[in-house]
Amino acid sequence: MFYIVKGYINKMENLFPFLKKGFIYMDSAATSLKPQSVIDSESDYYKNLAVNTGRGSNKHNYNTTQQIEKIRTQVSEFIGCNNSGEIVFTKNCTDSINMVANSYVRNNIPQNANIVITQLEHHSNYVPWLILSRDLGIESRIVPLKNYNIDYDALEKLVDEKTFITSITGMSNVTGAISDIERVISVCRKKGSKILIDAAQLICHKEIDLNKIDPDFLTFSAHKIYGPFGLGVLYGKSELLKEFTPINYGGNMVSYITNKTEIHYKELPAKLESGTQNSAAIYAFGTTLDLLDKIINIDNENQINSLSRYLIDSLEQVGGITIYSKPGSIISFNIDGVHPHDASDFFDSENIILRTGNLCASPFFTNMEVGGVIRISLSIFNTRDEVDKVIKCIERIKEFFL
Amino acid sequence: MSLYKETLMKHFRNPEYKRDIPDSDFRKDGVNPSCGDSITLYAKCDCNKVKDLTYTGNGCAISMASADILCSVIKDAEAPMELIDDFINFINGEDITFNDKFTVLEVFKEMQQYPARKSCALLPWKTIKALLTEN
Repeated sequence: MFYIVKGYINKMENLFPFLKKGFIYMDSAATSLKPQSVIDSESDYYKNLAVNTGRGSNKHNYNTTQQIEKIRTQVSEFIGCNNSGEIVFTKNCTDSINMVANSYVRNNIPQNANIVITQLEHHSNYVPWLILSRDLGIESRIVPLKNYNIDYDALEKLVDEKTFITSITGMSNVTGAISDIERVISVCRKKGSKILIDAAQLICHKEIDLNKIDPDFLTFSAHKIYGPFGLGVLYGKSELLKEFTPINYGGNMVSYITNKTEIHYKELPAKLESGTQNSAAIYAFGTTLDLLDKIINIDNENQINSLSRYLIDSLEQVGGITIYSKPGSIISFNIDGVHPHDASDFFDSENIILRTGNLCASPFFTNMEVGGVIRISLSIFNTRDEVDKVIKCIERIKEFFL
Repeated sequence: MSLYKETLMKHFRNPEYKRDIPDSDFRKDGVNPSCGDSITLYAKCDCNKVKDLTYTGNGCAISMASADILCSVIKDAEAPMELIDDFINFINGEDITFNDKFTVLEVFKEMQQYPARKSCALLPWKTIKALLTEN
C-alpha cells in the first residue's frame, strides 16, 4: 500500500511504523495507528520545548505556551468552531463527557427534568448519565434500538419539554452506524433540550462543521484520529461553559487568591483545565492536524468503504455469519454458534489484531442471545489481501467449532 | 489451536452437567465482566463436601468446558476449597501437580500462555468459591 504526500509516493509502513511489526491491524476504532511524524513530534516536545506551559516568565515558556494555544485554535478550526475559547483540553473523550455531566448538568438540572441517552452508547456516554440521574433522583430515558440502530421515532417521543440534555453517539463503536445528527439536533432544539454529540468514532470518518450542525457540546479523543494518547477535546458553547462549576480545583485554573481565601479563577477555558496539561500530546496533535487532510479525505474514505463492501461480500459468501453493520469503517459480526472470544484466539494466532466482546457497549446486547461481537475496524492502510486472510481464518474457525 | 484440547472440546460439545438441580441446597450466579459470560451453579452439599454440582449458562468454549470439568471433579474432592485454590493458582501460572483423580485439569495447562482468556477458565471456579465461602 502506498500513500501520496507532496507528490511523492511512499509506503504505508513509512507513514505508520507499527505496520512494520507484522500484524494485521484491524482495530483502528479502538485506537488509530500513529503516523511517524506525530510520534516524532511528541518526542520533539520533550527534547526541544520541554517546559510546563502556562508557567514561568521566561521567553521560552511564553513562546511554547503560544505554540500550544495556536493548536487550540487549530483544533477549533478543524471542527468549524469560530472561537478557540470554546475548546477545552481534557484527558480523553470519557473525561470530556464526565465534565459536562458533573460540571454542568449536575449543578443546573431542575429536579423534574429528564436526561435522554440511547441503547447504542459506549459506556463512556452512558454510565456518567446513569450515575448522575441516580444521584439526583432524576429520570434517565434510554432510546431503544431498531434494527441494531437508534430508534429515531422513539427518540422523538422520549425527548420532551422536560428533557434537560440529550447525549448521543455520532457514530456507533459497535455497528459503525453514523447517527442522524441533524434530525436529533432539530428535535432537541424544538423541545429545548441541550444536545451532546459523542464524536469519539465520528471524528475520524466524517467532516464535522459546527457552522452546519450546531450541538451544544461535542467530545472526542485525539488518539482515535491519528493523534497521541492522553488528550481529549470538549467543545462547548461559551454561554454554557460559563455555567460550568469545575470538578477539579488547584493548579493552572486559579489566577490568584486574596486575603487567604478569596479565589479568583482564570478565564475559560483555563478555569476548566486544572493541573499540568499534556503539552507534549497537544503539540503532537498539532502535527496530526497538519497531516489530516492527507489521511482523511473523500478518496481515502471511499477506499475504506470499498474495502468494507468487499469484506461484507466475503463474509456473506462464507455464510452462517450474522452481520450487524452496513459498509463503513466498522464491521461487527458473529460466526453463528461460535463465541466471539473463542474466535479471538484463532485471530490472535494469525497475528490479526481486532476486537471481540461487548466493546464497552453492553446495553447494545440487552435481550440478545449473544453477549459480544467480533469487530473489524478498517483504516486506509488495510488491504484486500488482509481481508482475505481474515476470511481464511474465519473458515478455519468454522471448521473447528461447527 | 493448542488451547482447544480434545478433552476440553468434548466437555464443551457434549456436556455432562449442564442442567439445573431443582432442589439444590445452594445456587450462585457468576458473571465475567470482560465478556458478559454468565453462569449459574447449583450445589448439593454435605459436611463441607460438594455432593452434586451442575451449571447452566452461556459462554465461550473455555468457560463452559471449565464448568463441566469442575462439576465432574468437585464431587471427588475431600477438601474442595483446596482443589479450587490449586486450580486458580494453576491457571495463574503456578506449577501445580494434581493428584490422580484430578489430572483432567491439566488440559488447562496451555491457559497459562493465554492470559487474556484466564478469566474464562476461572469463572466457574471463582463462582463455586464464592458459593462455598458464603455458605
